[in-house]
Amino acid sequence: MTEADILHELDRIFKQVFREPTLDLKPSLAASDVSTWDSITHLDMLAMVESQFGIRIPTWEIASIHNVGDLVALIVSLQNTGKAANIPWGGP
Amino acid sequence: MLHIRPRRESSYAGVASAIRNGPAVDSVSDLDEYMRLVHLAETSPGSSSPVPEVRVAVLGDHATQRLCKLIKACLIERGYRPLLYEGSFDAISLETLAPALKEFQPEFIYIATCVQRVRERYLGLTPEARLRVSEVYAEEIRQQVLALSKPGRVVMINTLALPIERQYGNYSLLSEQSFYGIIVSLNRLIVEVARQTGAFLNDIMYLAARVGGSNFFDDRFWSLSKLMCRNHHLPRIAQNVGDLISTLRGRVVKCLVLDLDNTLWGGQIGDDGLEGIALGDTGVGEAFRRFQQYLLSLRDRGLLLAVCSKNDLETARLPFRQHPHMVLKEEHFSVFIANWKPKAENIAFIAKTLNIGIDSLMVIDDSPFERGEIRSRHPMAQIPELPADNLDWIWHIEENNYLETTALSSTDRDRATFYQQESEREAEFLQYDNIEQYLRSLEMVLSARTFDRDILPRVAQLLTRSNQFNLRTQRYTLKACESFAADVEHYLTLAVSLKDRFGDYGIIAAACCEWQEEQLAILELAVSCRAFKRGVENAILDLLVESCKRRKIARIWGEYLPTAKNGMVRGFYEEMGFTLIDADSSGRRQYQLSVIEYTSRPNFFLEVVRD
Repeated sequence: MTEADILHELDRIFKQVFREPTLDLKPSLAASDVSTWDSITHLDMLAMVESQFGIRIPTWEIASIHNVGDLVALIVSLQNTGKAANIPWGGP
Repeated sequence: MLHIRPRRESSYAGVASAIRNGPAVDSVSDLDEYMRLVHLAETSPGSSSPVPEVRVAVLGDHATQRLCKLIKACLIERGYRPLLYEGSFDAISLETLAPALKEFQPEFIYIATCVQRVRERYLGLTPEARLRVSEVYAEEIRQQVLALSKPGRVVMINTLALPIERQYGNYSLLSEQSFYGIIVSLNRLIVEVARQTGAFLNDIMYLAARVGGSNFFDDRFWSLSKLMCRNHHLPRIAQNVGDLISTLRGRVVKCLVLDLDNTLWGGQIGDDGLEGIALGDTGVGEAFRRFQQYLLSLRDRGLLLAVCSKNDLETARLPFRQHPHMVLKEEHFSVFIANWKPKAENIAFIAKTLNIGIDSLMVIDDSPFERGEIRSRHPMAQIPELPADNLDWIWHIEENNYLETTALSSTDRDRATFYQQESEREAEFLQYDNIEQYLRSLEMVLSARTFDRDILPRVAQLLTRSNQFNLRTQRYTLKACESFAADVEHYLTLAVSLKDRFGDYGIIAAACCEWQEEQLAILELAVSCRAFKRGVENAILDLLVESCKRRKIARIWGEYLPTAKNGMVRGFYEEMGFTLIDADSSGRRQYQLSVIEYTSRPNFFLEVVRD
């Protein structure tokens, strides 16, 4: 799956969760740019991302996703390796 | 004006497949459903909407923002205008004292608890103290319920999802200290608390077991946000709240209307013949047989069964009379219709014959075409969109919680027999020239008593279920009835039962009245549809007047509050000789009656007994 494909899917999920039909999904789009992106909708969105892409996002990553770019990179990394790139304590 | 909308079925098909194929990822359709409900709650109708209001408070020990929204959405879907009060985070006991909660005047309070909080407590205790954690916890819930209970209010508590960790492996249930074993026994105690206090249960233990614990829980959601489960399971918890509220307000399935071909057996009796239909011990035939057993168990619970089939009557009866594997017999059915008329017409006839609303019917038919036709004529009937594979039907009905009930009384179980007696009564009616003569011939005996403990479930059921002859539709629960009965100084209660020479109707009417200054106020008066037109209400009024005379009270106050279904009693108080004293544009009418001026209406009882 290319980054463009991922962005395309994310666009659908973001519109559904954040209810902003005019949302312009670009890598720099951050939580602070979207009024409905709060700690609760963040989890709603990630649950849909997990389901859509067949991945499981580790707990430490959930809080470190600040913008769409972070999320795309995480999806790519989880899809390719099954692992997140930056395990905070060096990983297993 | 229709108040209650038909149920929207949850598209939880994904769950069944997740259970069979392993819960690797959340089902997309569940999440879509979850998001749809969240957004529905955000676009709730304004206060001008004509639908009935319901005030619900949620006091939780976990994050309940989403749960509250979903409860709101479920109530909107059931045709209510919900007002929600969300208690402060993890402060249930404090909330029981909160002035804001009192001011909100909730009619319904849900105490939402989760297994994670019990775990925290358990882990913080010494091994000896852990032995008592379930009793201590259950006692706290009991105290909270008692602090929040009052007449006219319903409290709901929940069972707990069974935890994943066991500490002692398969020995855990044998150990008194394992967390898993403690939760199993705590769930029993919670059921006991509900039974003693009259609270209702949200059975989360069942919900979690149905989807599987490893699917239900998500520790990341708990760690980060104190969410008790994966978000897309919250709609099920909210659905239970919505179902209980609509059941308490009288929306219950009373009769199952069954198709025959490809519903009770596989194939078509007309084409395939007795030997050709699938019904038996193995394969597809086993599934049909098991479905019949399931239906029979529902009849044992008190639901009526009716047949509505497109067939010739003789052909339709054949399997009931001759097939060795039929579980259901003709005598199990209150109405048996097989003809070639449109089913919608037959279904209207069934409702009329049984004297129940179309919305109390649940239609089980394998044909999407027939379901569509019936639904277009009777949008209020409950018509599950059954899955193609008949093996999944029981799952589907249970998953959507179609058969919610709030009490089980012996009348429930006797109901099916009653309708058989009723058809004998009707046959006899045709022989008499006028109704008076007929009523006298029935040799009816009416007896009235206060709400004694043994009859409370039936009284509460009558008050929560009767829709047509119900003057104020207050929906007093068992708990409320119990408190009326306990306070004879302030309340007068009458439970009325009726017998005639064909059989015993059991308790068919109930009145709750309050002794106020200088008057007796009729808070509620309901008569079961099974006892209409027999003069029961005349006798009840006689009894009330008699009580007033004894207490030297000069006036009786009554009120009619209109609903979509109680139009038949709009003129009740006028007919009884009451004077209208106030009315408003909502249709609400208040009356009073001077006790001395009251003249008894004629009644045709052989005897009226007051215990």
